[in-house]
Amino acid sequence: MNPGGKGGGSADLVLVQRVKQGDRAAFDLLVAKYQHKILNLIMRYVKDPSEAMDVAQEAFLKAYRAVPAFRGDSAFYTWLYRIAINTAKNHLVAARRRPMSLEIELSDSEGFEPFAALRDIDSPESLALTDEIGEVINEAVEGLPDELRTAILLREIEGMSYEEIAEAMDCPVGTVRSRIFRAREAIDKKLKPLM
Amino acid sequence: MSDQFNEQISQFIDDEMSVDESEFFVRRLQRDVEARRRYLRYQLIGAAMRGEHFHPGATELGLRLGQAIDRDESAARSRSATRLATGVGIAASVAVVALFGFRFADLGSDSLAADPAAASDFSDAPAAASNLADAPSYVMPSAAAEIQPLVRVGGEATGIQYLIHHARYSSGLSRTIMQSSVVAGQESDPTESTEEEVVE
Repeated sequence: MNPGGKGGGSADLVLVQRVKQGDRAAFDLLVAKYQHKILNLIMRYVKDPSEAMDVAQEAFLKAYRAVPAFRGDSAFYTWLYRIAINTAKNHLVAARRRPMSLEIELSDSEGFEPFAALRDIDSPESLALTDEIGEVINEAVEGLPDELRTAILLREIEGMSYEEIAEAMDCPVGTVRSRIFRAREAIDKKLKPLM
Repeated sequence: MSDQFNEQISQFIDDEMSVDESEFFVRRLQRDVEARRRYLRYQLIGAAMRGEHFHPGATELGLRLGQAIDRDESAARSRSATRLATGVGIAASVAVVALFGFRFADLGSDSLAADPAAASDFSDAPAAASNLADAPSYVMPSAAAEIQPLVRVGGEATGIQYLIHHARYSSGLSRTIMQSSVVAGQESDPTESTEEEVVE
């Protein structure tokens, strides 16, 4: 999301337009773009990572169903953000109504894995991989040449547009574009073996 | 995959492309599996740098979501088919009911359309009976002489009396309908009947 950028949200609008025309792959790109932000947002309400993933999935599903009605009055992310917040709140309300006790017959309890989904997401291997990815990315950023590191930090952390970064770094916009790309490529080279 | 295209992925993620460029780029991106993976990794890099809660499992969200959308669309298609089938069923039922309704109404009107005024002219009765003889479902008397004169009340036969009398020569079904009509008080308004209707 970069409202100050050259596209002014055009990337999202192009993808949304394609989703409206029945292009599911375009929706996948939107999901890939916002899933981390949305998951992060939902985890402020739902602490359990497995539940948060389910709520995120539900929020995206609601968004997919509602895309035909999206008029573009607000940015796509603002609209998606509202859907995610409402879905998370509804989830909490529904969770409070749910009875807490799990009535499981003794005979049924053998082989019963109530937290199977949680195990998939929060397994030690999975958590270790998350940590490793985080470390690799941080180390890769630290190891970047100054001009590349500054460019990618201004973009990813500060959310500045290429034009704003060009002004801050006193260089042409084309150079900013190239520096950010080269920074990503350098980090990706370290990340790719883990994925 | 060229460096130029990879740079476009980076540019697209940063929303630094015009609409036309984005259109062209998205079409190309969708055809290129490796480019889509790169797009995912670039997004992950940004999330990790911003300290967002990221998880390798989150990249599976797209897959899980795709399956959920498939199920959703399949259920929607099924609901739509059920609605269509129900609609067709209701329409067919209405058509059948309407068809039988009209047929019963026709039978009823044949029997109930008798005009007492016309019935008052006894000389026309044999002629009317011979007209009715054309209809095979009616049991007609062997001779016109068997036809009994209508009971007169104050010089005029009432519609009900005519119907009761007429019922003797009707089929069982018509008789039932006529009797039901009489009991339900659905006798046609004699003042609105015309002599032509009686002949017909």
